[in-house]
Amino acid sequence: MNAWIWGIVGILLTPVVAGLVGGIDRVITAKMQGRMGPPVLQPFYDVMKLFSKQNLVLNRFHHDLVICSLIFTVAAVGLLFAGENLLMCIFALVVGNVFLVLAAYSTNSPYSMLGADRELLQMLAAEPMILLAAVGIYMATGTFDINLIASGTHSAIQYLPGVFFGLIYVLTIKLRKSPFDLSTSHHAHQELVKGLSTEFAGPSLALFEIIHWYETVFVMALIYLFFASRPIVGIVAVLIVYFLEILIDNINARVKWDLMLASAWVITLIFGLGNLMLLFILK
Amino acid sequence: MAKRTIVPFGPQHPVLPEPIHLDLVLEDEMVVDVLPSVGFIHRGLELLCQKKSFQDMVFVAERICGICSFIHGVGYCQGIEKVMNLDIPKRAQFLRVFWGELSRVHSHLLWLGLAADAIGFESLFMHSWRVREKVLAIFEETTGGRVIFGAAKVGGVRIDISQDKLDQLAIALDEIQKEYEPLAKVFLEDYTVQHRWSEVGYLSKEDAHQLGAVGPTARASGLPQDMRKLRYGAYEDLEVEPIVETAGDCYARCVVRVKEIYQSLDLMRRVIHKIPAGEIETKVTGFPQGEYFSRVEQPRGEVVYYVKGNGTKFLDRFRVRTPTFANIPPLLQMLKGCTLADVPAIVLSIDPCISCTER
Amino acid sequence: MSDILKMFTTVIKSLFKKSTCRQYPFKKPVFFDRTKGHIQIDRERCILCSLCDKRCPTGAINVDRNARTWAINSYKCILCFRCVEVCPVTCLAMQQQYSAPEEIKKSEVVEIPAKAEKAKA
Repeated sequence: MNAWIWGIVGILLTPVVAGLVGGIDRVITAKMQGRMGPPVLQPFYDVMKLFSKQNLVLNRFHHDLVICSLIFTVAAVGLLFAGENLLMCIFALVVGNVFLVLAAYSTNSPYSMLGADRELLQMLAAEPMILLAAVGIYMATGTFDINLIASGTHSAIQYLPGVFFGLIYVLTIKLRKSPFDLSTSHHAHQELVKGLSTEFAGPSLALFEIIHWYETVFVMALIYLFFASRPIVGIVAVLIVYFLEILIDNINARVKWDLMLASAWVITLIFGLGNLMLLFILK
Repeated sequence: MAKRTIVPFGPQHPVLPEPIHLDLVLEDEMVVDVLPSVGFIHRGLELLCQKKSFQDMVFVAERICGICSFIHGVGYCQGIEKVMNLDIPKRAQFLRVFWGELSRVHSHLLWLGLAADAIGFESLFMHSWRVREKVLAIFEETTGGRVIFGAAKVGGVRIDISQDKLDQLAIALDEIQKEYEPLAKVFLEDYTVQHRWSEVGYLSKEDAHQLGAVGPTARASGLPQDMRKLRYGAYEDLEVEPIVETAGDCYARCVVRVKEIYQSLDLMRRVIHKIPAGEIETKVTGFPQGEYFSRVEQPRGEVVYYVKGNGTKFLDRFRVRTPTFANIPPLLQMLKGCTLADVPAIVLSIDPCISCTER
Repeated sequence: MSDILKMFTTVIKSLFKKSTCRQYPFKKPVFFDRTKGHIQIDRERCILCSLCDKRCPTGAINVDRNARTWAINSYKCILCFRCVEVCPVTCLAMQQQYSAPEEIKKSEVVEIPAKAEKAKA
């Protein structure tokens, strides 16, 4: 019963927290660029305005696929907060992502299709590392059960510095920030117009934003799990990592997809797999 | 052979601030052919010469483009002055060079910002424009306008800058250079910038010559072509050496512009140092009769002004060949063989000014 | 490695600096002597010679001698200083405050008092 409550609380709180974090992100980014920046609550205003607009749906699958994506992403976050199996949460998130790609493919717009291609490449680059992180946490704590990981006595980070670094690297992909915001970015435009989300308008785009909020919280929670035995350290670590991501976003241009894929896999292999091998041998 | 698809690029494309339409013929993601069409914002400015007196046409000429407006005005004035055999005071010519070079700095900074934005480097974009804002402040201080000054007139310039002001401006220029330096370093040395631009949109020296590339586009392909070498106006007293790169890709075009900002800042310092005292305009009497081809160097390249007077208040013919118009054939050459995702970066690399092109 | 940190110092510095945004119209902008705001007429001095009307490159100024009015359409005006230069009695001047936004594009009409009234005043 307790797990249910936690799950629902997580689902309800996530948009609030992620929206606020997004707003603060925008203010910090603006400061880094020498600008004033929008009010902190701007992400909420954006989403509210998008909901009030007309929904231009291109075909009967388009909006439904976005809703499917939302359901799976929300479920992933809910399961995470409910303390279920970590692997299951990760796969639920991936399914949510796949639905988003399908929604983009269903539109037939060249930019949207290319964006969807790139989103698949991004998943290909990021998912191995995220799975390795789950495996690493299992090796360090002996369980996939988030309840047990969170209530464990020692943190996974002391066994998994390499995996942690690799996770931060692919986090840039998951958070859609430069240099890896290939499929779609937070900014007004990119070379693929808006890539994945080109054909999303009004409420669909609002749902897309909300999906991204859930994704953000999910990966941040993943970071937190590395420090689960010390909550304060965990929260501080999450904040530092997020700040680092903003910084990386601001000092890099967007790279081409081949570099993203190659570098993400090299990092996964060396830091992720290398760390796990060492752990396997030493334990 | 892969299936060919045609993807329309523009006239409404968020990457392009202005309307140009390209039909991209794609094989998978590879561009194999490009069909351009222009004419979406044709304003018929060249016909206006029959309705506006030749002196009022300066205002029209300035409004051909919103970024290099002053040099457009100067090109037109220079044409009329040559037709009328007017002798322009030295001080006016130096002031024209000063504003002209400042326009070049402003235009290149604008381009650098847009180009950084096109490759997803938002902070570099914002910082470039922050520096550009200081240049605009100088414009506003000296002429009253931030983009279109109305400072050029047939027979000279309309506004003088006092010597005190010039000395202050020299300090302001140093400040601009100091703020610009770290940004220039990013453009020249940053890894991700090079990753995005090197070996993209290649244009060989032969192609650049044959297809008639002008300005930084030509210079980046190794053609040392700069109209300032014609020594028009005050460039008679100011030596300019064109900045040439040989790589011929988008990155080379960026490097040329980055270095030209330094060159222009240096030129302005020399103008402040050398500017003679005296009148700023000569009295214009009579009406132009005859024709002249006036060629001046704009931030984007060579602009050609053809004016033909018939001895009345109104001109017979007024024709402009803007740099972007000359750079479209080279652009089509560059685009062949690139991927769709590179198209915006390559289109931007010639610094397209569609309003110029279509007049 | 240092190749990817070229922007680092600039970004960190501006994080602690004041932003360069100028919040017009909430804060008054810096005006220079020649800042182009709007054209204002000193109606007491105007002699209705209509030179400004003739010389205006965009035809923004309209002088009606019979009705004794001077009108300017600030949406046509390009603030080129031409009228200020040609005015024989220097009654036209460039004011630095930008003209306020309006819902309809219309001319601003100024009535010029007759000479007799001027003498009385």
